[in-house]
Amino acid sequence: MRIVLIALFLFSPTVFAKKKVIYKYKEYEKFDLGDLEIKGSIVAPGDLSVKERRRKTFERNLLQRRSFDKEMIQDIKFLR
Amino acid sequence: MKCFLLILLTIQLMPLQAKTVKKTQRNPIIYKAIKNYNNQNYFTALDELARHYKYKTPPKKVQKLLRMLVLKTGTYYFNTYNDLELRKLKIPTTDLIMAKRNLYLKKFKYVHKRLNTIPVSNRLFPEALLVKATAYHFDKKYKKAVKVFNMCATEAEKRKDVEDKKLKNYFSVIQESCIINIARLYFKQGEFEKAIRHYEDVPKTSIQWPYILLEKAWSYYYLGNYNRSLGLLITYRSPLLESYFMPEAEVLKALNYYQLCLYPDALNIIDRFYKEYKPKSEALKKVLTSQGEDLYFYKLMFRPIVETEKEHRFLRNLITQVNRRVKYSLDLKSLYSINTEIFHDHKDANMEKLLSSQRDIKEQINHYVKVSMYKFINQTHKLSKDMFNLKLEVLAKQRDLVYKRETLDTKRARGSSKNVQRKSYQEQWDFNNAFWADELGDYSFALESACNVDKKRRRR
Repeated sequence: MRIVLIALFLFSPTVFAKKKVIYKYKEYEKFDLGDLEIKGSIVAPGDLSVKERRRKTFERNLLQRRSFDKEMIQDIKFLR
Repeated sequence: MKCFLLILLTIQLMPLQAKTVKKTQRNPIIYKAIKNYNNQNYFTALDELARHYKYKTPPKKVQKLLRMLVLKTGTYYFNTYNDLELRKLKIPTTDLIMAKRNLYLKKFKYVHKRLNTIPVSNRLFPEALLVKATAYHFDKKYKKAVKVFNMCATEAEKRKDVEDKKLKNYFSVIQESCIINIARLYFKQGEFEKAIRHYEDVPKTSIQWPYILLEKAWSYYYLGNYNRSLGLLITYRSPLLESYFMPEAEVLKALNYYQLCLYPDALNIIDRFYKEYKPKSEALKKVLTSQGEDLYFYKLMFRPIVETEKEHRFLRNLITQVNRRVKYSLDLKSLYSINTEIFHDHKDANMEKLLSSQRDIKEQINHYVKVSMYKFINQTHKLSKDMFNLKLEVLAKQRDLVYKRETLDTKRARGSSKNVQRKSYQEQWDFNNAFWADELGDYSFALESACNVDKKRRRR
């Protein structure tokens, strides 16, 4: 048991120590765009198309006549 | 025995009569009023009595005298009195004034309370029934309203056989108003057929007839009979009805075309409204607002037609409309009565009161004419907004047709007599660009609706 504990104590800095990471970038890279090839098939229609959608309908209040109550009162007022 | 009883009763009543006469003679106000009445100083007498009995109920004899005086002066005198001052007078004229005020305030209970005191024999009884029925109408008691409107029409008709032309005219207006109001009641309830039947009971000679053409046209519009509605509205184009320009009729015309899907016709009416009528209304407003002259509108009513026509054509038309109203003729009658008393120049006449009353009634006429004219301008202004909405709606419909690749049938016949809906009692005559007086108000268009063919004719 003692031996195990001593071993742990001795090796712990090496086990928990962080590794030093070194990043390296490519110094030069070349793309030949003319040489690129995409494999697949075209699914979109050839000519321009617009999907029909329901148009917004605005409800305007057109003139309505529900009663002639105002005229009834006016007739009485116009009597005298 | 009978004879004996009669003598006994007469003897018993004699002291009471003598007492009343004595009391009247003792009261100098009443004595003076009777004297002034006999000397035809009606306004002076009315002023003295009304001021004396402002807050107290006059005896029966004075009430009778007041009724007689009002017959000569008109009711205008009491217009400036408030309800507290009027309530004690207890004469039919003041009761009617108070009932009307309560009707405008929608206090229906008090309308009936006041009107119940007016006796059947009184000249104002038909008018009281008109007010009573109108109160029932606004109180949503429609059955009672129809019953009282019918009673009113009967009572007014009974009183029409009088020699006085103005009085005859007054009772005719009451009778017709009651019939028209029944039609309006049915219109409000959506019973347009019934409404039309009642509108048709108003004779074409009536001064109210040009106004109800529009109401009748609305009824046909709601029944979906757009051709008949347009036919009624075209009546306003006849030379006989030139004075009756109704801006609302133009809107209804455009609405009828819109419902028939005749969009170019609707747009034509709308454009004409903006090009023709709106600028005229604005020009009229300018004419009216530029006047700073005292009693300008009152004086306008007495200017020669040629002169007013030169100033503005609409002005003349409006003057003609106001001229035919009962209120105007009653006010004028009161003014002439005052003028007669001033000219009479009796020593007992209260000249100061007469001159102030004369000024007062002139101001009342001035105000009434002014209000009538501005009402017309305001109505045109308000309706131009409705016209604008309709224009947008018509344009939207036309745009939708383009987007849906649809078109209205242009090859169809413009109209056909099969599109005219006729009742069994209606005959058919062709219109040959002439308005005959007996035909007015009976026209119908024969246009075919373009709405049904919308979706059939898709463009390929």
